[in-house]
Amino acid sequence: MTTERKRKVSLFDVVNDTSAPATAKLSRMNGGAGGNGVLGGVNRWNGRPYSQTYYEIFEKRRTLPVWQQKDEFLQVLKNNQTLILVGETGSGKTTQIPQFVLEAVDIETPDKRKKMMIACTQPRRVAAMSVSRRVAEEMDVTIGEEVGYSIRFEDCSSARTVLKYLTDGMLLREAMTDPLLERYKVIILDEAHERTLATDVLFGLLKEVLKNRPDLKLVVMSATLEAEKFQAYFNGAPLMKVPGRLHPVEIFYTQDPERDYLEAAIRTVVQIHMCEPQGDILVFLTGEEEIEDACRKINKEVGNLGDQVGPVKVVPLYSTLPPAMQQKIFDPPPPPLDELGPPGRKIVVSTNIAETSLTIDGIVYVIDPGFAKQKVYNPRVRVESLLVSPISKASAHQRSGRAGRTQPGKCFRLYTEKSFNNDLQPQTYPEILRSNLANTVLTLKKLGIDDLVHFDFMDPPAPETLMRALEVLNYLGALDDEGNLTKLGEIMSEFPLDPQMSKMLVVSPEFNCSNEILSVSAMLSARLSWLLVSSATASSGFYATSGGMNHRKLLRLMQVVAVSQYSLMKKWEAQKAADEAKARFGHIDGDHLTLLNVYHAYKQNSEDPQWCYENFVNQRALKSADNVRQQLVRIMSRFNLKLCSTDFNSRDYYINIRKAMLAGYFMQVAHLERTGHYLTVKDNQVVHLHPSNCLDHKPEWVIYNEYVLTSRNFIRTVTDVRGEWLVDIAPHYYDLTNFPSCEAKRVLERLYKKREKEREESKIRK
Amino acid sequence: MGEEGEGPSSTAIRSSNIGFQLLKKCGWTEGTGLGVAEQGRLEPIQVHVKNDKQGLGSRKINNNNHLHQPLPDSTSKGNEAKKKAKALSKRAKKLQEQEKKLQDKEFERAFFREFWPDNV
Repeated sequence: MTTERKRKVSLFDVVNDTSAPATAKLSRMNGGAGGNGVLGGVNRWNGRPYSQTYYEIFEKRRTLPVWQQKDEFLQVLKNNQTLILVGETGSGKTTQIPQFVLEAVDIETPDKRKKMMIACTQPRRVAAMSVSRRVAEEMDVTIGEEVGYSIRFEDCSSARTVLKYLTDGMLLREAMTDPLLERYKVIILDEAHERTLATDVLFGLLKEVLKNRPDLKLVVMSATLEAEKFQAYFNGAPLMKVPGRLHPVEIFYTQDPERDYLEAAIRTVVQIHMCEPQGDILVFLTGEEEIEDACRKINKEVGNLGDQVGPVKVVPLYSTLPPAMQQKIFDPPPPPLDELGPPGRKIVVSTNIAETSLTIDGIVYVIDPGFAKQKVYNPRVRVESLLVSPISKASAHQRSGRAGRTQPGKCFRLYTEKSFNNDLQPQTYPEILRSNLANTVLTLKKLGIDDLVHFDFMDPPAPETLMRALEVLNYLGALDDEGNLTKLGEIMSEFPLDPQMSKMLVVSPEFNCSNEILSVSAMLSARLSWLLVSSATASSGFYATSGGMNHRKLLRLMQVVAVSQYSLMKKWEAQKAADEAKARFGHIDGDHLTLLNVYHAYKQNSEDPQWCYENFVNQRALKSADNVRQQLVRIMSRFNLKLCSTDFNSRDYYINIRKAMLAGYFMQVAHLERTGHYLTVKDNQVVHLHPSNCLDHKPEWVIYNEYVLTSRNFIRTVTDVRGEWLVDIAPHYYDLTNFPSCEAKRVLERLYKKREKEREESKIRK
Repeated sequence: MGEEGEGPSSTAIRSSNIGFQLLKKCGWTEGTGLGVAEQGRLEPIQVHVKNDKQGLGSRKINNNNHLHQPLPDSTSKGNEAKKKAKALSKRAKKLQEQEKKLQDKEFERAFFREFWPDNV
């Protein structure tokens, strides 16, 4: 350990918490504000008298920082069409601002039974759900009635809803049927600093909509530094700042770069625990596997210190953790072992979800190694992946801020100050620059935006990213050769899925298997992230045994549906469960078919929870898949797409399903070379079958659902397809005049010749 | 056929690619960016794979350490393409540098403004 750390106090990290004027303002508010606080009032939304809880919550709400600026906010809102509000997490903006707006804005329509709505977007589904629940409680109404939420595959709102929380992606989808978003009076884009793909597209879209709807108002809420950029983008809209409750945070850098940041992080934790006064620790690491590993090591190291230090509670936090486990971060630190003993400490080891979206009180020390997992997309090789990359200065700043929520804190950056200045970019690249845009382009086309080139992106993506998207959509038949949306494309855009999957669904009746394709699609998209059981368990199991991987191959698909208590289970138990499930449901021709088997077995056993338990299948995951399926069926029937199945006893049953899948995924095919490894078609990237697959052989051609980028490149969720099908189903893509020379090309050449010969022979026979 | 764009390695998408042509039909001119003022970035973001636990700044990310290694190129056009890519990347580097400078400046300004509430 570089024992001597350079000490540096960052002046900029401090926002003065001047409490005196705050109280003055508060007392002025008291009793004002639409009679909100008056006892015995009647709820204007449902006509019922307010409950006792309402008043209790109200007292707490009023102490939130954002209340100090309520009047100012409403004034600015009244005078402007667009405004930007900057406030740290914890200022109460997400829950309070929409309520302020509701109080002040007239949402009546000429039709007395109908009201206009306020929308508040969230980048994450979980946030949309939990925040709306909280706000419903604060407003003393039932969730789903006056206050509701809407996320992909789940709409919890009604005709009476006046305030709706929804994911940014959902608002974008609503725009597809309601281009001017006429049901809304005010739209609030929350967490805009996260710059998700959907939020960025909404930016450009709403700028247009605002021109055509003078009565519509837009509030952009952000937690970070880009506010000025937003201001410039929104034509100088006024900017309001809500102070967070931040105490000063001292920043420490290392003197030399660390050789191993994980080891350094653990060492720092132990050092803090031994030497620093009471206060919880937050450590930022990159992913599940690393976090679980760190938790184990910290427990061990602290255990080695014996009684001279206080007890610790080490809590992991990452998005794939089941919600019940996530809740543990809010547990209090453990009590001292005896009355006079050193105090206990809670140590949270988290991905960057604790950076802005989750606030944990009691954190005084932050350890920041400077890395995070980021989605990246390279249009040149068409691969989207999660990769570990250095964070941005803005992120580093956010992380350090987490230490100052309850009292003055300390942030230990596990890099030099020089590194901070030279190696970190100022802002994280917005998602739009790091994503595959095929789906986005389809949406934009459906929204009637034809000039994609000059669309008002805040940060326009590279031309090549757009080229790839257009190419994919053209090959799928969603865009014609002039770039216009085709009939097929229009139907595809109605599915909230990737274009490949939508295509597969739309054409599945032609292969007489739409029922089965619906089930496969539902299973693929219902992967609630936290049900993706411990990919760490999977991959560490794999890496540890890569020598003898054959008999220990893990079935990730099974993990998807396997018991959610996995994280509590020991590694080998998890493995056993996966193997067990694999033996029961595995289909040797492909993982997609295995998913189908699981779904069918679940239905045949009438969705029995006991059956799920006995078969290592997670009932909640399947329930959600079932729900997704129903939604998809609804869309299918809206477009008169036939629901049909091939006779299960027919030899063609699985063949038809595989063919239909190929009709959507013909651009995600890998070919087995004579050398024994797979090459992706056209891109010629070397890939390996992910160890989770359940094939019993190495097929010559496979379609894959996912390309996983690590030290080795894996393709995950694979199914065997035949070369003949490629030339039959997607000859426009497997056009050899337009094909890099490689082994696959020569094989295809032979296949084309064979087809030619067959055709001639049949002619002669006639 | 050698002029097909989807060849291996991470060279730019070529003009024969249907996506390239479709973008042109949308009104794009080669060498310009997207956006209202065609101000968008020209090159996609570089992708690097990090597989170790080396701390930040302990080793500079090697620019040659591209993640997608092309297979041995059988076409004779390889060299030419390389040259082209080199020239392109030089230009891109210059642009990126400029961009970085601008961003830094902007960041500083925003930083300053953000944390001196009186200033807003």
